[in-house]
Amino acid sequence: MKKRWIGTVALAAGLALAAGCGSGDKSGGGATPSARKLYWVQWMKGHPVHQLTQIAFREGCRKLGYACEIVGTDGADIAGTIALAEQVLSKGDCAGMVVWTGNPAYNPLIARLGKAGVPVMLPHFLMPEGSVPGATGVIGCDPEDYAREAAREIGKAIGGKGAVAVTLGSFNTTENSVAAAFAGAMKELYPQVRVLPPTEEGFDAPKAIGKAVSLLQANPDVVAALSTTGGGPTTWAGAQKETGRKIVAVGMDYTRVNLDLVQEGRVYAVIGQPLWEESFGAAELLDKAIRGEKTPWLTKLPAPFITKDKIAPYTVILDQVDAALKK
Amino acid sequence: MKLLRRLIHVPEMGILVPLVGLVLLFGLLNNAFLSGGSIVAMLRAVAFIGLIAVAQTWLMVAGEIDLSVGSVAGLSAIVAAWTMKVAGWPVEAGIAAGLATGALAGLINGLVAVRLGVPAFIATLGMLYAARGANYLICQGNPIYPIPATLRAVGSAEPFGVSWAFVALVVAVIAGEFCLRKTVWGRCVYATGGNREVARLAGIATDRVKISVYVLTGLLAAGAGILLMAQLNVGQPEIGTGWELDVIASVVIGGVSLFGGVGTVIGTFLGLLTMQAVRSGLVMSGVNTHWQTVAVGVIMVVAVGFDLLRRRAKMTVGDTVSVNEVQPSDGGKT
Repeated sequence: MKKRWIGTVALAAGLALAAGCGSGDKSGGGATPSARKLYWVQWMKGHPVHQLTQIAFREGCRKLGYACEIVGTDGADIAGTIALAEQVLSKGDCAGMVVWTGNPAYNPLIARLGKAGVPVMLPHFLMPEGSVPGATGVIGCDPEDYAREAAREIGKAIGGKGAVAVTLGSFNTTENSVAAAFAGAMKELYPQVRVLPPTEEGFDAPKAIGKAVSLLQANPDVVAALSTTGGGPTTWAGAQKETGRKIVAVGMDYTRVNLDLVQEGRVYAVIGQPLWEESFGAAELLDKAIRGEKTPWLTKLPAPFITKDKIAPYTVILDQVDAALKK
Repeated sequence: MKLLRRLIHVPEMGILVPLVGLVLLFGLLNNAFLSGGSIVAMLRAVAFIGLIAVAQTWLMVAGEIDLSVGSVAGLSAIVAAWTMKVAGWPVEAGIAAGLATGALAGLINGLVAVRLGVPAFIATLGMLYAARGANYLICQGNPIYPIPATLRAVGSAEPFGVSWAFVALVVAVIAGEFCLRKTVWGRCVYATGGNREVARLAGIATDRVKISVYVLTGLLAAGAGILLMAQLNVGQPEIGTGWELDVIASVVIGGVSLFGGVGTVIGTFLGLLTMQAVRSGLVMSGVNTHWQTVAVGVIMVVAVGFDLLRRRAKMTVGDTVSVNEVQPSDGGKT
């Protein structure tokens, strides 16, 4: 009896596997003509900044008449995210996919989609052409561009003198290149300004503030700070409060908290990565590719330096996000 | 010799010596390290982790462990923020809801680990995931912002030049140490962690003791989360992420045994200060940021190793002191 059960289960599992592989091959072998679904693959899918990008993508899909689905893990789990993406492909309804990555671990998945004729857009991370086989294109801002812009603006604000602290959320390709480009541009534009080596602030606010305070106290000549992460404005606003020192602090991302810190004068500016535009734009580019139009490999967007007087348009975007969330 | 013997018998000496050494070293490397502002900043930074570490000390002395403290802190903060901002409850009710959430999580941990017999590691790991998931279910990953002005005022106030969170930590350390050393409940905690069966035969309701400590841990985790929310002025879903490891590291550096029955709250407090002194000192000394992480790990192991050596020396130098004599006065270290 037991053996018969095992045999039945094994047969069922085999059939299911065969069916799964079949449908996987079908999607892998190209979307069916009726497939109109776009997928957004992203780890840490609950992260507030990631949610903003997902909402923008959904808006893009809605406008263009596509169904869409967000696929990803709650934590920073690349393998888990790839596994989920592979799983949804077996449904066979994928017309196009957006993969939020700068990590080569996703390359086999993207290559497989490319071979199957499914367009794949990569937002935010401007990978060089040819470095991700199978990808259709990249869309976003160039970190080195906004790093140079930040150097120009910060240098101007501090009168070309003093030292600037640089903090990173974590060491990764994007943040490393921002830090390096910032230091290079500052050296070129304001040679008298000393840029401190980058320090990892992490993502836990009390620890990050503690580190920023230590940097300020160890370096009395620090008159400005650039954080390459979205938590940076809170970090440097907190450090200024604790040390009683006023510096030109600049961080990333136009979240409501950050914009308020700029508005209150506790942070000088935030760099507005075009999160909404690149995510919405990824849907538009996918649509073009699906309809057979030629799309460029690189779609470069600006990342404005948002000071107190330039906040208004970004609060409108945030209102849009809030409205979309309430739906 | 007598003085040495006495010093060796002070349970906190094992962590105090490395702490003083590190402070002097970093002070020599950079004068600013010992400035008033720097010390206040370090004290403020340890407040949130410290509150939880006090409760984790009790828990580990009782022979249990809670890995869910960070997630429970985050969930409690989000519940408090949501009830105040979205549901429109008064601030006091919101805070009560947050604290109740923490206590409930602690109670569930306690019941699952103690009554159902699920190993504490697994029971609280499960709570770690469940609480983090519930947190995101409530806020959908979005910060709840801004929080009510009353709470914001608490977060930005600087009583005695520090923060309310640090004041709460000092109160918790004093009360926690007193309860552990001088009350019947504290003796029950030591006895339960030291040898549960013997404690039970001595008439101690060990299950109840353990569950009570789990509830207190959840409560203090909630308090820490809410205080951080007040300081940041935002109900951030990421509050508490990764705190559990810092809490356990501080407690262990502070001389609390992973096997229960040994440890003091003062030791944990010194462990916390050691961790923070290392972090701040390395940043102020301009040590390469990658080496900082390596150094934190190495110093942690060295601090615990030093404590072990001290304990061995104590066993060599020390004369016959019975367990019962030692536990209440020196944190159960034998």
